[in-house]
Amino acid sequence: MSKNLSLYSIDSFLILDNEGSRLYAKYYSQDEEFKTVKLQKSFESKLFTKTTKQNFEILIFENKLIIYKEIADIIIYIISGLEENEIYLYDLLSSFKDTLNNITNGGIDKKSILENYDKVVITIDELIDNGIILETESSALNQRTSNTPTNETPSLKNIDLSEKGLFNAFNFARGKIAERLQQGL
Amino acid sequence: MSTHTYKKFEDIDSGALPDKMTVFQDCLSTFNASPVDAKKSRVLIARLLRLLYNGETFPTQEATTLFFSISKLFQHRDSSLRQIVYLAIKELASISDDVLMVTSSIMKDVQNGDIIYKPNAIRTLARVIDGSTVHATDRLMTNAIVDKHPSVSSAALVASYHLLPIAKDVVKRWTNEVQEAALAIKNFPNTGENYVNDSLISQYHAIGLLYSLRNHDKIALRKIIQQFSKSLRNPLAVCQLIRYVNEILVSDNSLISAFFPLLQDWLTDRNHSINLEAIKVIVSLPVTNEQFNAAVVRLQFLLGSPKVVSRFAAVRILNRISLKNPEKIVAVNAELESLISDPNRSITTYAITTLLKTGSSENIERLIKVVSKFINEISDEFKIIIIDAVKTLSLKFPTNYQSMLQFLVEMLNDEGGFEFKNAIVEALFDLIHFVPESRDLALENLCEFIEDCEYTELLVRILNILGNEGPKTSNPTLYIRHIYNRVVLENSIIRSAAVIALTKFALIDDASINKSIKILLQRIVTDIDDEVRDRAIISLKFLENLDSNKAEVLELAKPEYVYDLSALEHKLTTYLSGETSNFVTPFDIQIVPKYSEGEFRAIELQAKTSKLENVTKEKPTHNNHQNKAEPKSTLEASQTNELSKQQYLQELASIPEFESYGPVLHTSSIVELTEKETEFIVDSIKHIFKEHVVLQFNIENTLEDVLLELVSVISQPESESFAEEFILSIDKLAPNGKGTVYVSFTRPDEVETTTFTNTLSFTSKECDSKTLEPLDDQGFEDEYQIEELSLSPGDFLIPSMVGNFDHIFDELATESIGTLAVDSDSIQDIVDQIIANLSLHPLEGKLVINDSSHLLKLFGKSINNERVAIIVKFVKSSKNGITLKAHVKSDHEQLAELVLEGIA
Repeated sequence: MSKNLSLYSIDSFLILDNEGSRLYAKYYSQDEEFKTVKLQKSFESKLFTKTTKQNFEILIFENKLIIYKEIADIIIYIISGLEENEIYLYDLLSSFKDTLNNITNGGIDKKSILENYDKVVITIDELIDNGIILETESSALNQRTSNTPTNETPSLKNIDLSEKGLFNAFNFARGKIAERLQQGL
Repeated sequence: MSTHTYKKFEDIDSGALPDKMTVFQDCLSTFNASPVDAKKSRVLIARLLRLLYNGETFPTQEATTLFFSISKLFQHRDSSLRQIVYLAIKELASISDDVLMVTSSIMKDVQNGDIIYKPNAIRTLARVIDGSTVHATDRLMTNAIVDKHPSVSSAALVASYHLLPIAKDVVKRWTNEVQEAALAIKNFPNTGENYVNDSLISQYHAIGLLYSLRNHDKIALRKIIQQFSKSLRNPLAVCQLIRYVNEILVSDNSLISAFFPLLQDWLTDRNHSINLEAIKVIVSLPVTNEQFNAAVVRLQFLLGSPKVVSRFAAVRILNRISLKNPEKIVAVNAELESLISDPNRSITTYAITTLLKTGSSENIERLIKVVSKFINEISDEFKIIIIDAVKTLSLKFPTNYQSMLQFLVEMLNDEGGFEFKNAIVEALFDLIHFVPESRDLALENLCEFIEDCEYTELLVRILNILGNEGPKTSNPTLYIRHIYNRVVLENSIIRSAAVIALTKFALIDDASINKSIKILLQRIVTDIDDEVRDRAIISLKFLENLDSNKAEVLELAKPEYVYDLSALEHKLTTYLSGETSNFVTPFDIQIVPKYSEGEFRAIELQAKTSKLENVTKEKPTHNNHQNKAEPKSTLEASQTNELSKQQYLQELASIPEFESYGPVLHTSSIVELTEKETEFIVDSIKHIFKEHVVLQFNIENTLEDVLLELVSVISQPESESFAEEFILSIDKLAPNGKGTVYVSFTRPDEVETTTFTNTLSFTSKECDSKTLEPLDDQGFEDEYQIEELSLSPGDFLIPSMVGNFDHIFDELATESIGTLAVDSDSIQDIVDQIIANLSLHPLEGKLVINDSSHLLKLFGKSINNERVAIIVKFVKSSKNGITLKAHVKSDHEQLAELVLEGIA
């Protein structure tokens, strides 16, 4: 039994949708079998037919250890070598799922992932760095993933709906309109 | 959310990919705008990344343009934008040019950036710098490695790890800092918002990096383990450490007892991933039974875990153990049986195949019943695995063939694809060949199967086996009917196979069958297909002349011997690739070894039963690490050994003096007569001819400046029945040259052993090491004592296969029995030694499974074609060490005694 003595332990991280097409795919290993996008996609489609609608969570496929979770209309995969430790890889996947849950406010599906794609990709980057497991604790991942920046222009969050707030807004609008009218003249 | 942002997500509902060119244009205009819109930029980068992660790529020039425009975003201070900018830089760095130009911006961030993007900056830095600029980051990196914030420290460690291939010497200078990081316990600073659990994963990164810096040094590695075995808290770090322990133990088994307490601790750790890693190490090492059991107990615990992964991992390990040492895990059978109904099909399959291995002949029938209930629910692929397991089982427990045959037949009647049916038919073939009692029943079932089988290839194979085996049964006419049905109903390929099968039935000594076959064949002569017609006509011709040339027909239709195909191939290629003068003499088929049917089957059986062991050996090769060299190298060693033997034989054949000796009856393996480091390296090979023994000495002169002349070997046999005939010496042996001396003796007809004392004699002259010209003409004569060479019984024995060992063992007339105590720790060592010394074929017990007692069966033939069969029993007790009892039987009394002496 050969052991992986390096820190490079993840071969690939994938998120596929319910038709098997990519939402996210990153291959870290330099293996021949994943050399081109074509090879990768054919691997993914075989893997997808093998795993979809069957909640095994773990299997050996084409000499790779596959750990995955099917959530609503997406499947998340961690692909690694045969001699990796199944249990900690599973824990890794669970933390990712927890973080994802947080990002999407508990509604993990294809739509919410695409809506929050910036946060999702940052989370994955904080999870695995080029094949090395970087962080396993979901609370830490949460903290490491920054929110989408708010624009300096007023946005929904800043609007104060109290009486005073409304009055302020009215004054602000009046000022603006007056400005425009003056400019127009 | 404003209407403006809603628009952006319009295309997201469909999930379609954004258009590449639009994204490219948008990126350029937005990133170059002033002031930069942070939110818009971040969303755009996310879209760009979506394209990249989907496998889209940009040409270098466009990528570089993008890279530059993204680097403009460094002007903006927003930290959440910066974080995704780093991600984009990392992804684009591999496909753009001139990535070095962002180094200074990144280094500024590493130095005093916001904590949210500082780790990203560090990790990105490793991606953009090249080997020559690494030293400039020296101070930054060392500071970051020992930073109090765990994310910064982890990022720095991982970045250093990535830098190893390009700047190992620079990273090496950071060893002290790495060591400090491995021991530090870093907490996330409490920000007040959310409580953050500390994973302490920087320990994992630090220990991984430390190992890479020091792995070539075994002592340093042991130090790492001693230093960290108690202080690591992160489970991944501990798992990694366990792998290092494994590394040490694999290279030096004697350390197991010293390290076992550590493994024991990890075995009972609260964290299951640590348990698992420790179990993996323990079961793969040669530990004592007690230690092994500790791991099995923990496995038993994991089997009952509610987590699918834990069960999967545990059953996978058990399955692997069962391939080699099924008896060690019998204790978990109950747990395994409860896993048969597990929802995860991989787990069920592993559980069943493991159970099929660990089962004994008593519980196997019940097990098969359980399996047949469940097998309909799983896919073909898993079914095939199970059928393969049943197949091996049927060879292992031939007495239980009935239940297994029934199982296979039921499966055969089920729905299924070609692969699946093929596996069953294979299994039935094996049953027919190796379990004769099952033959009639299995053949009948195959007959029924071919009535509605849609696969031509399978039909042809079944027809072939019906032709071979059918005539041996008590009721051959039954098969004739089935076969003839095929001629009527099937396509031409199957029809021609059926013709051949039919013909074989005509060879039975039964006039009525013979007659009806002829009638059937005559009908086929009018077939529309020419191949079928041809075959029928040829068969008829044969059968007409059956009485006059029966032997010839039999030879053709049912050859008694099969050739060793790989040997045949090898011989034919050497024949063809040789010189054209070779073709003067036709290829001699006699030199290819032949096996009788019984021998052939025995070889096949052994190959099949040992196949599983090979599978386990081959599997790790996919994982390309050190271990793969091991099984391969032994194989290669035996191959090169065989090759050099062939080469020596060819050299021998080219020497005219030995032409009259006849063919070589046996050639020993190479025996070393000197140490590898001496001035003259001598090894020797013994060739046995009908009336002669030729000792071949290969001599290598390792001296740089000494020329040897008239090199010969004086061999003195102890026994007087050997008489020296002549010595072929070497005239001149240059420095670093190699040469061969042959010494020929006559030998008595009987097998007789003796010992030769050997002395190397030569005239040595000093010479110039370059021109090889001797410096003095005289030289002086010298002698050099080399080790003795003994002619052992093994030199007269040729390994051979036999179908039914026990039967032959009883049959052999003379026997001699001996008991002796051996001074050795491992039975395996003794077994290997006996096999090597006697050059007999190990039919059973080549691998020692049980440490305390073992049984070895050997068979071979002497050069005079007398059979030798040996049963050796080993018992190991703590009081007496290893005792073995050898029971040698042979056709020839003296031979048996000699062989017994040979064991001693």
